[in-house]
Amino acid sequence: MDFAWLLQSLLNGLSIGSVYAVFALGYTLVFSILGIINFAHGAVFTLGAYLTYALAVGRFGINGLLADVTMPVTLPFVPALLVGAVLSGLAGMAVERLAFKPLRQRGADPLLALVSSLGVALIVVNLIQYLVGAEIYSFPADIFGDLPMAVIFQIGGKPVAVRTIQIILFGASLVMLAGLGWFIGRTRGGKALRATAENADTASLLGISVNRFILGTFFISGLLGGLAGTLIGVSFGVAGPYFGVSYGLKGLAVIVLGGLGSIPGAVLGGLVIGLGEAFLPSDMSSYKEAVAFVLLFAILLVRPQGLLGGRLEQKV
Amino acid sequence: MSALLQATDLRRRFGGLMAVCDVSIEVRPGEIMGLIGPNGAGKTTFFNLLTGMTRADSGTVVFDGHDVTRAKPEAIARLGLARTFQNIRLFGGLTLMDNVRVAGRVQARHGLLSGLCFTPGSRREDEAVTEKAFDLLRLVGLEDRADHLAASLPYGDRRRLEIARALALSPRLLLLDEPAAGLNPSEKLGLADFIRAIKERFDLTVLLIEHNVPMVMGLCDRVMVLNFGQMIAVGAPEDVQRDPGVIEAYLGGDAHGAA
Repeated sequence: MDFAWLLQSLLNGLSIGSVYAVFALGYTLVFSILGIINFAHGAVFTLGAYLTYALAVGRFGINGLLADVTMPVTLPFVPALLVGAVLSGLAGMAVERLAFKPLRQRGADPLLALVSSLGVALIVVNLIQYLVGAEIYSFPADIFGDLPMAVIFQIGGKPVAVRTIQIILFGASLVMLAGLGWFIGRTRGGKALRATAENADTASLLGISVNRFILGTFFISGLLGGLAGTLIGVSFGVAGPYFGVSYGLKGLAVIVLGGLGSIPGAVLGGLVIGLGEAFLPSDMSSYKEAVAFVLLFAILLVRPQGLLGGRLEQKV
Repeated sequence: MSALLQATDLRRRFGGLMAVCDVSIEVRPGEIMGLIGPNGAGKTTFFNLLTGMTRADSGTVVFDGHDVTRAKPEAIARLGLARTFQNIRLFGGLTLMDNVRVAGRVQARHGLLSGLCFTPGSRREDEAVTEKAFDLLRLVGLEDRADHLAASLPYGDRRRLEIARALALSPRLLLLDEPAAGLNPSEKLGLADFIRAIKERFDLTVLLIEHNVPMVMGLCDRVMVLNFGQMIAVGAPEDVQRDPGVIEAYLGGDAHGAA
């Protein structure tokens, strides 16, 4: 327990935790406007990572249907990341149109959309496997051009490594969080979104097109999911079509721990879980996946509504 | 003059309950029309049918020349039909100002991402919406609390904010669902004057549900009466007051079962 270790863990935890926050906000946005969890969010996360990989590297793997197909052009990393995120946002819109809207318009029980979104998730994951195979992808080491992999500082005679990817994770997440906060808190579109989340019927009577706002929400949600998928993929590799499943579960832990439907809660929850994982002693690192849920249980025992969850509002 | 709102044979059944049964009514431009009836008579359901919140089983609604029988609530709102609720429905997590601005934004031409303020046009529009919202808050006497959250308002002020928000739609027809409910006697007195004042100022037509009979009689040009989903009378307040069917509905034995 020395100072350099603390600093290194803090750095690791903040950078990965900020990506968890970005990812989990995708759940939060949809939940706050529809009151249900979009189980296809993890699949969009996976899709985002693959799309950015294809755009930046120009290849689709070696044993799927698209094996040996190459992209005519490749993009530098940052444009690839942005285009991949926008395409993920469009995928999010497709999820709304396929899994949510048809049921909603027929007045079905909202819980049914859990099942239909899970169905869409499975289709996406299987489609990815069919098209590009199941092997693990790693972004090439030179993806950031001439930037060094890491800068090593000496703190009290011990090394602390600041990896380039950590800076990118943290920076991109901060930009997304700030942008989202500004949109929701400051703009009229964001306020209409909050009004719709609070009471969709009343919002529609004030002329707000509720379905368009829901579609827009799924776009932002998919954008956040795809971006998070790419960032995790660059950091740890894209671990096959089922890559998003464990992150999807972790994202659920983040939003429940932070307080369902709370935007600051999702950010705090992401950071708590990221830091919790980072401070796990290295001889226990194979239990990393359990950290999120151990923290979740511990906090729910004390605060059943999550860290920043308010009272659950009942709609009349 | 032709009707601003015309409902024809409007019907809605909930299971075995005939909530609104073949109601036909014309609301003429510029009038204040009262809608009265015992509890459970179908008054609020009738409002829900007019605003598109509830689908009619049969019948038609024509508003300002448009058939809106199957239209979405937001489309009807944009045509200029605004309403308030018996159980006030504000956006508690938004400020007073934003409650009004959100409604005003339907006038915006710049679509979903309007208010991102990237173009001079959308910025000007944003300022115009804000200015209009502030004027409306001043009209209802809430301008000094524009930055407070709506959830923090006392009851009487909430009603006024809800009316200001409805006015932000620039409606031609304003539906008020029991605007005097829960107000103290002096507030009730002021409300009738206030409704007359906004009607003149914004050139409105008003249809209101109200239980306060003196207020309805003093304020309304015409009154329609619903009982068990059926319209049993319509006409000038003094005629309706003398109508035997109306007296029967309010005082007769049948009315007690309708609550």
